[in-house]
Amino acid sequence: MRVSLQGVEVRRGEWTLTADGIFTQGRHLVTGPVGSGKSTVALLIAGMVTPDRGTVAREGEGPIFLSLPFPEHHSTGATVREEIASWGLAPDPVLSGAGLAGKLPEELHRCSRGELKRLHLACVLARRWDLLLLDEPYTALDCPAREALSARLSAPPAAMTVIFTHARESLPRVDRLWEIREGRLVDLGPVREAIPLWSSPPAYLRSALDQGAVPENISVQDVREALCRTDG
Amino acid sequence: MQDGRLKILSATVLPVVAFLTLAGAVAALAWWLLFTPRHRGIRNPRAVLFFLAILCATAVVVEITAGGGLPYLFRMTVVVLLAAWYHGARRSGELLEVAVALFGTRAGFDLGLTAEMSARSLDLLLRDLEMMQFAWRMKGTPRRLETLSPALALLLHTQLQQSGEQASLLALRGYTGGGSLCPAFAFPRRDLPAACSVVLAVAIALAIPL
Repeated sequence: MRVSLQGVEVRRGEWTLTADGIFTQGRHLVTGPVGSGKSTVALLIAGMVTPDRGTVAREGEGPIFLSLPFPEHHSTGATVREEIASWGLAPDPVLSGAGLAGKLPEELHRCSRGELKRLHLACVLARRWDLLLLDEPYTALDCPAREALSARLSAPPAAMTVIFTHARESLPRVDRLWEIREGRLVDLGPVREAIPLWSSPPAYLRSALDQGAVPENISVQDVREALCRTDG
Repeated sequence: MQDGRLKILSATVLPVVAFLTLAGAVAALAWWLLFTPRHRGIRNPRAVLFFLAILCATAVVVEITAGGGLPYLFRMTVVVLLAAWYHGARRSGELLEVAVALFGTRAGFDLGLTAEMSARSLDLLLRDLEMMQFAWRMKGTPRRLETLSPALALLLHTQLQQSGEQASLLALRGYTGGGSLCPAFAFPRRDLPAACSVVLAVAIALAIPL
């Protein structure tokens, strides 16, 4: 799978987003503040919106999925059981993955948004996609769930995964960093070279960089290891 | 059109004019054609088409059962077009400002705040429906009643929850009723023909009772 954005421009009134770049196999992280245009880039790559200018070309025929920030938008079942079934999945592995053991008969509207999000992500990650776009996957998750998700996403993917987030507390290992700066999608490059170019890294990473550490990647674990190397 | 008062006046008076008489509907349509960005000002064309489709079906039933379906369709189409224009032209905070200017900082503030919150909920609901369509396309879910009804129920439940949270937030911030606001309006000269035309449309509707 390969996605190329060439001279892409999206206009919404006064607001404009421009994008150029190529997404290839691996894990990509697209960051930027709320309202900067991350979701628009996700929708463009998924083919859900068409740009006002330029082209978005996807090479590869495999299944694509865009996970939206709010899990309610994806829900089609009345209960947890029906929701898992709507994804064509067996309930037990999903329930354990989502930390929802014993909640199979629960009605979805009785679940908290955090539970809905965990259920949604467990269903999405249980399926195989050639291109997986995760728009704000950390929304509504508590700290342990965020860390668990980061650990899960840090595993080398079989296909292309693009994570769009403004989250700062816990990030997964990725292969390439992108940033939206003043309405423009900027490819910062492979993660190791991109870290010093990142204008808004999370606090834990910025602090490590200030101490002279050179992390291999952006996860908390990588930063800890880099700090240990610096101290040693 | 920049003046919030004029926008609300037009969006309130012209639909009534259009609904009352056929001549009023023609005048209101002419106003829509002359003083709005027409189709370019419609934020959600699919929603407008949906409403027009419902109107067409209703008009057919009215025509068959009692007659007068076509004039009804014309009048209601103008009402929908005016509503779609205002939905796209509305600026955030405008309803609150106009309500306070008209009815004061007690009843006006409460009325305006309610209107602002309702308009915002409507925007969010439309956004939710759009996102649901994207999500369902991604998931490959067919649009059937058995999948649509639980999804809409969950969406409605979420909206109610959000409204509850918003009410709690207002209460926490000490809101008990009324509030201070000093609305300021600009009435540029180019808004004058539109304002005069609203009065003209009312006069036409009253003068030609068709």
